[in-house]
Amino acid sequence: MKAKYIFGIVIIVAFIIWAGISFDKTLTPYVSIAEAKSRATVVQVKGQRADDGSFDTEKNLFTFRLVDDQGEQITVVFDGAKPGNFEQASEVVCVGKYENGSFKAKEILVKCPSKYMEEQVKT
Amino acid sequence: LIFGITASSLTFIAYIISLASYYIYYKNSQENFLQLSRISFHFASLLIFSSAAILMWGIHHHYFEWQYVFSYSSKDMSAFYLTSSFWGGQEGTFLLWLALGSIYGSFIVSKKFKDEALVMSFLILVQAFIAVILIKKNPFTYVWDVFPNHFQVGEVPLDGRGLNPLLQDPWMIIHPPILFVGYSSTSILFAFAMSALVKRNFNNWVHNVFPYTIFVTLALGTGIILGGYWAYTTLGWGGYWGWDPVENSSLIPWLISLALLHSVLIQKKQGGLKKTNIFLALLSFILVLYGSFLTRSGVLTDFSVHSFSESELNTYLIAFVIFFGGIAFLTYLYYTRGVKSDQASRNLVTRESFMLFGILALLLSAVFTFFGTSAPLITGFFSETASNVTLEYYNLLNAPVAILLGFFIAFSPLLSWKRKSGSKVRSILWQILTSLIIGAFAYMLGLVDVIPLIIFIFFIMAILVNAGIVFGYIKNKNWAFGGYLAHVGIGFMMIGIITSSVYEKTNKISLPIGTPKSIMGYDMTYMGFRLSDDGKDEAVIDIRKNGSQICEAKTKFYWSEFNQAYMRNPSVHNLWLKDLYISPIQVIPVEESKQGDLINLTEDESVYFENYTLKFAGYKMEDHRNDADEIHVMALVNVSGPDGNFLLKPSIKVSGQDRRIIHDTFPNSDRKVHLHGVNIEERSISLMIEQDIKFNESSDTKKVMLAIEITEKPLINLLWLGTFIMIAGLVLSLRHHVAENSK
Repeated sequence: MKAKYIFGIVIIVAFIIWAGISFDKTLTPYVSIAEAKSRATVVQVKGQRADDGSFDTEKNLFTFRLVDDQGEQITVVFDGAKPGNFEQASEVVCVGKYENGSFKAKEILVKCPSKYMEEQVKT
Repeated sequence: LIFGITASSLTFIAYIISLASYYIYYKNSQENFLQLSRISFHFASLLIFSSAAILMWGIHHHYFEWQYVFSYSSKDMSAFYLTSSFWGGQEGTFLLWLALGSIYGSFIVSKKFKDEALVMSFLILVQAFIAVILIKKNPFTYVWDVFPNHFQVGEVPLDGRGLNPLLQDPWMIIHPPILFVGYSSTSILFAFAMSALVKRNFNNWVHNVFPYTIFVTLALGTGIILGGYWAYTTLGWGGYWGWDPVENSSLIPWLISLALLHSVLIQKKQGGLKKTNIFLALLSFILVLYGSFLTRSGVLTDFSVHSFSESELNTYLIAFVIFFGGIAFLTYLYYTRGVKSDQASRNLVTRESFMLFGILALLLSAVFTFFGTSAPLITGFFSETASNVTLEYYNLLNAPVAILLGFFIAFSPLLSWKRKSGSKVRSILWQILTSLIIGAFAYMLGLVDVIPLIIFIFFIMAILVNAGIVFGYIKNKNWAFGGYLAHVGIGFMMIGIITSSVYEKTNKISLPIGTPKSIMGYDMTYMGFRLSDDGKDEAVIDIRKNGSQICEAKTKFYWSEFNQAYMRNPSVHNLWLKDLYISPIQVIPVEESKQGDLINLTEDESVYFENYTLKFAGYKMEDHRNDADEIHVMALVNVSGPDGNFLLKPSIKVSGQDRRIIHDTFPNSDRKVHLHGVNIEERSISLMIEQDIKFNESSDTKKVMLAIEITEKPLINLLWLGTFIMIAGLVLSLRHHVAENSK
């Protein structure tokens, strides 16, 4: 009977420790571009796109410039498709890491202004 | 509007009457009140179904003066997809929940069992709350009330905005309603658990609630699987599961319902777990509410690929979660004081102990998926900026869970209830050997990572053991093998998930039109764009292997007016041993490779371009004395790069109406630099720099190109097979236990 509890507690404790490590390891803080440049970890940056971006058909990478509200700029390199609404984007969020002079994005989220959103519902 | 609000208000009032008279009946058992409460409940159901029917009719007949019809449908949609407009927006899904709740309620009433009054009261409480949402946010509101800037009072829009094209998909007709059947059915678990609490009847209720628990598990599981299939074939993330908050908020209640299913089974078989079962039943419902708050509130807008907009329902939804969470847990604390549970298990090596550990693994997975999903909310509390975890978190976390589950699913069916029984374990030697041999084969075929390999072997074992038991039952013409069959299904699913996600092979390539290119053993040719059957643009790729055509991949790639975005759908080709998954990335037009790049420079600011750093140093003006009209503006740009530092002097000559652009060239590459625009006040210029000729040498760059991503997903068919088996197992089990309960 005791063995059962010991076994259960071991599972729970081991799991909590493992979850804590995983959480800490994968947590990606929102930072400014200036801060992203000084960190070697995965972070999220938010800003406006400074150009329409271009696609390198040799390396199959999508590259664009991102500028944040402090005016800092960064080159974002994304190993994937240009978001479908990139041209309409009012704000771009990039998750990734700063490496060798550019921001290697793993994920790009695009936020667009919606035509009907600004109005409040009145009933 | 009048109709909608009135119907919802009447529904609410009918629910209040029903609730009040159930309460009176509960206190002094007067039959009249029981009748009254039933009648008003049915009246409310009637109102809900009429509203739903009218809304559906309005959608199909284009009543665009109704905000909901305007927002989620349009004239060009087929009747098929018009139906799915019903659950395209929040109001429709709330109405759907109410309709489903009415069905559950009528079913419970028709059972005429002892605790009807209490169970129904709690169910009605939930329904009443949702009815209030519909009063506040009604689908029948007129467009001119919602969008006063766009429409005059009485002005009927000529056409609606249409439904998001991603939702115009056959899977979207069945995925949301089934998922909502799952969500809403957790309110039955809530109602049963609350009534058991209030009556301090911790034993009998599990017999009543067991079939409903299977039902919840079945509905949520099916809904999640259909959602995964939709994501895989239409959304084109490249996968069926992305640990997105929306997905997680349906996964967490499902994990809880699975845990509950097993712990109720233990209590039914041999007692114990009294408080645990009540707690889990309440939790599944509260987590559904929490999930719908989290995904609709706008808290996650910066973190999710799904577009959630902040809704004015935010405060109401928070109140909803806090209210039900509050009453559930206060009641729980109050009524479980001093309740002593019997020991659920005495020995370590018994079936119930193994099941308990399995339950523990499911709960741990649920709890930590919950923390991951709520990370932006939690970190937002402690610091100014919220953070999120990456997808890796979930994969790291669920690997040990998968190992534990594989182990317990494989071994617990071999053990007896209560008694310690090691003997049977010895009789499965051949299963152990077989799974090790299959594991060794898999290792040789490339399944070389330790953790996936362990998970793989345990689940092979789980399939062999559980399938053996299923065949034993079939031989004896006994149909009570649903649970074991479901475990066989889970086994196939896990194996399919490992092979198709951990061992997928992916590559990107840019295909010039008409020229075959070789990749991953396939010859691919981009054939150009075509118009698909439903009028959307699709890129066509011819795929051959050793000269013979495998398929013609058609990946949709079109502009959506609704989303104001380019939409891309993948093309999936199911082969026996793998899926070939083609996602379009981008079309690169010819102009882009010929034209140059436009660069904006402000004085004294460095800008990076390719390998160069450009710095605009200022203007140089030259007035020509002999011709006062002519102005020559020269921009001075300092360039430093791999081939040294130099000065570029592109300029514009203006004389009268005549503007002449005089380019400069890069010293080593003959690339031309044009002065494209000048803003003297802001002291900025824009330059057009032509592409490096070296890149333009090959003939391919003069052609239109399509960049695609090709992924091979090995043995994904095992995953789909597993989902069918699991659902079949749950259906069988549900049928069996419903029959058992009505005996």
